Amino acid sequence: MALLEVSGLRAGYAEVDILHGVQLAVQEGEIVCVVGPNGAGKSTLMKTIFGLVPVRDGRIVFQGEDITGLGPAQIVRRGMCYVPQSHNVFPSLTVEENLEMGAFIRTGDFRDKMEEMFELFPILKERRRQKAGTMSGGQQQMVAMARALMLDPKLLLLDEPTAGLSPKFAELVLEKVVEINQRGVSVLMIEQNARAGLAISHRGYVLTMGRNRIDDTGQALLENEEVGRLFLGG
Amino acid sequence: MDWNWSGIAGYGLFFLIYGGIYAISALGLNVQWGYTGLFNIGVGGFFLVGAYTSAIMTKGPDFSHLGGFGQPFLVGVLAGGVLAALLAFLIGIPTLRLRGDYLAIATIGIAETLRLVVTNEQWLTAGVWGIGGIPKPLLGTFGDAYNAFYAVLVLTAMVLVYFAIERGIRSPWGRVLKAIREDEAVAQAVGKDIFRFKLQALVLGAFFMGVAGALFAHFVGYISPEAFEPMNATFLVWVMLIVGGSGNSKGAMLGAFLVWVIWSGTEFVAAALPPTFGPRAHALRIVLIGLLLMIMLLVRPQGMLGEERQVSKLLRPAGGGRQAPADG
Amino acid sequence: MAQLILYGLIYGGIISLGAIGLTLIARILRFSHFAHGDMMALGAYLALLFRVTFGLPMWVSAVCSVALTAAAAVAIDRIFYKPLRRTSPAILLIASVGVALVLRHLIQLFWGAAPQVYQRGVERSLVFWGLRIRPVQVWILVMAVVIVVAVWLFLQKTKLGKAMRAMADNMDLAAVSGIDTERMVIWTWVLGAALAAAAGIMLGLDTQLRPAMGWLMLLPLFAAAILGGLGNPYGAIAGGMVIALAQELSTLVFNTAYKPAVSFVLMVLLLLLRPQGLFGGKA
Repeated sequence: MALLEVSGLRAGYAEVDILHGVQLAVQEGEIVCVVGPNGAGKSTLMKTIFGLVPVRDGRIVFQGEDITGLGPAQIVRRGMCYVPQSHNVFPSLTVEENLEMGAFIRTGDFRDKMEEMFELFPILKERRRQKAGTMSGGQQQMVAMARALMLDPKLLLLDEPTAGLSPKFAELVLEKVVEINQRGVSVLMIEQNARAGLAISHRGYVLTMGRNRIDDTGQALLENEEVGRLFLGG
Repeated sequence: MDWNWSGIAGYGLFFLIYGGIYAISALGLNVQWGYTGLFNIGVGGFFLVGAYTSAIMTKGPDFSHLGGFGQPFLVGVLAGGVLAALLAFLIGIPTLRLRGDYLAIATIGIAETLRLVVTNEQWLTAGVWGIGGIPKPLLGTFGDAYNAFYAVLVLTAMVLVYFAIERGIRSPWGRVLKAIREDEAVAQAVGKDIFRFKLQALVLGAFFMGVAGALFAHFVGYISPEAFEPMNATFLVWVMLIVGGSGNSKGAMLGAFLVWVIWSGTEFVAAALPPTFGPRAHALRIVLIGLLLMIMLLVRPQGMLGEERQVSKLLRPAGGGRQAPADG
Repeated sequence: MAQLILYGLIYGGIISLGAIGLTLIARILRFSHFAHGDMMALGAYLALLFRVTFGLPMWVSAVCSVALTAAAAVAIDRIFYKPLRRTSPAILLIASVGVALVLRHLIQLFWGAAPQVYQRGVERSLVFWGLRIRPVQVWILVMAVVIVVAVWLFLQKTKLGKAMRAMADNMDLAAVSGIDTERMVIWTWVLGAALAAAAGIMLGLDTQLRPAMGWLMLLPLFAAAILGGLGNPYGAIAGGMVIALAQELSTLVFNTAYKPAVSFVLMVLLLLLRPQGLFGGKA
């Protein structure tokens, strides 16, 4: 049984549908990357899975439980955490406080978990008392991911983690994603930089115009000529 | 049965006069808020300016305040409207660029400041003593039937204002106003200079409020800063517009008369209280009106008549439906 | 002039407390709470009830009033504001104007329009370094400092306080992190109303109680909140001091009756030139 199974998903804004029956699965332990041109519906897909956008048709099953229609507050409690593309930190709060907020619903002491995060993201360790808003884009991305990991999620949703980052930081962030995955967290990720995203992914889905186009292993997609033509670009 | 006809008729005339005056104010507010979406909580300020201007312009010399112009009634009323409009113009220039609720608080500030000025600049307005002996036009001619005459006067003014607004709102100018209220971004995208239109709406609405204030002053004959306390001059007009239906001129007028009836009605409720309550009875009336507003907002925020049905060409992009947000 | 600065500090403490609540409500609940001033008045008059009618000591009355005002705020929110939250912020604003009016006149209904005081009798001013200050004003200053420190501790050291700052920063992210936003809304009202009540009581202690006392504070409160940057509680404190000092010092040049106009003019200038406030926050 897959960790996450999405079938026939239809969703959108106002009177318009963005997703027209999308299906997707994430097996436990995998990194899955969703790629596609702008406007394909990747972000909407992730937001719908996390309960931020209402489902109009289809099902979302997580860890065997049907979570279609649940809101973010309930989904977070079931072991799925989400890192938005932008505005993903609390700017006036310190790094520590950001992490503390990530652990808000956690019972018991979160300090051990926090130290674990600092181990995982050493860059943040020396800046633990720094306000998140004063950090660079790459550092903020780390804070955002650490915040989401405070609840020990089984599945981490990442919306374009390398967006707006320098190549050096983008590479660093993706390295961290691999590290996170090695610690047992499955990852569903959207990446505009399809090449880099697919390179670290076990499997990938190509989405165009709100529909599945191709899905295959990450490696296969990278070598796929059609995909390359579509938009892998340089 | 022996009805006191003259009593009832007298009461009826008061109702028509006050209702009409407030209706003109409400029509003005409708242009600003109902049609254009401008948050003017300083209605009282324009009303006050209109009243004081007309009073000052029409009275003979009086050592307690600025005056001595001795102008005829119509000049006074027009001056009241024009000065209120001018004030709106001056205020609008800095504040209309502000976000909605900031504009609201700016207008509250203006109204309060005006009241402070009127209360403290005695050379101008005789301060708290107020200005009395404001001339009633054609008093001699009508004598006993004066109130009937004044009622006709006010209602005529109201009808003129109504038709003027109706002409305006059905014109291309009016359609832009409504488009601005619906979605500023769209209106702006179509290339209209939003600021200019907003300013025009503010100024026009203020003109009417000033006229209303002047009509008020000439009827009561005596004005002082107390008469323009936020409750009467501002809040009541808002309740009238919300109850009647904002975005609807007929609604504005209906709301004015309806709420005035209710407001007058609360006077009977208050009179039923034991006399020890005294001035507190007034407070009870306001609590009741306030509750009326709250109930209206919760139950029927579009008011009794709701908004006028009018399709703006600017609101329907080809293909219909709203644009979905950009997706990555 | 030093005397004016002293008055400014006292008055500033009062405005600051009110402004903190206002700024948090503006940011977290996303509407301009026009009834905040009258909430201050409610606090003041409830304390009067306990003090004069029930004869309780002042500090007991103050505590009771703060608790009751907080409860009233939550109730008002549940009854009037919550159902309207899905409509436009404009409707919410009008609703809060309505609530303000009703509160003010309910106060007048029960207590009458004549000015009231907590305690009869004239106090002698103390004199320090040539500055006069009444004992009750010393109390106000001390209490203001104590409360501000308490608020600081709450916001910086407690989980709830941090969550409140998080919500003021980014409400969507707070929801995504699992923070119970509805509960936080209630806590925001509690904090805002409690502070407003305290400020109102202090105002009543400093001068006297009149039904319109709250409405007259609305402009300075908003000016202070905007100056500090909406959503920035510490900015609100600074804003309160600046506004109060500006108002007091303005009397050197203008008629004292125009003091409220000073905060109004400052506010408009600020909105035009630097809407995000002096200390940042959101525009």
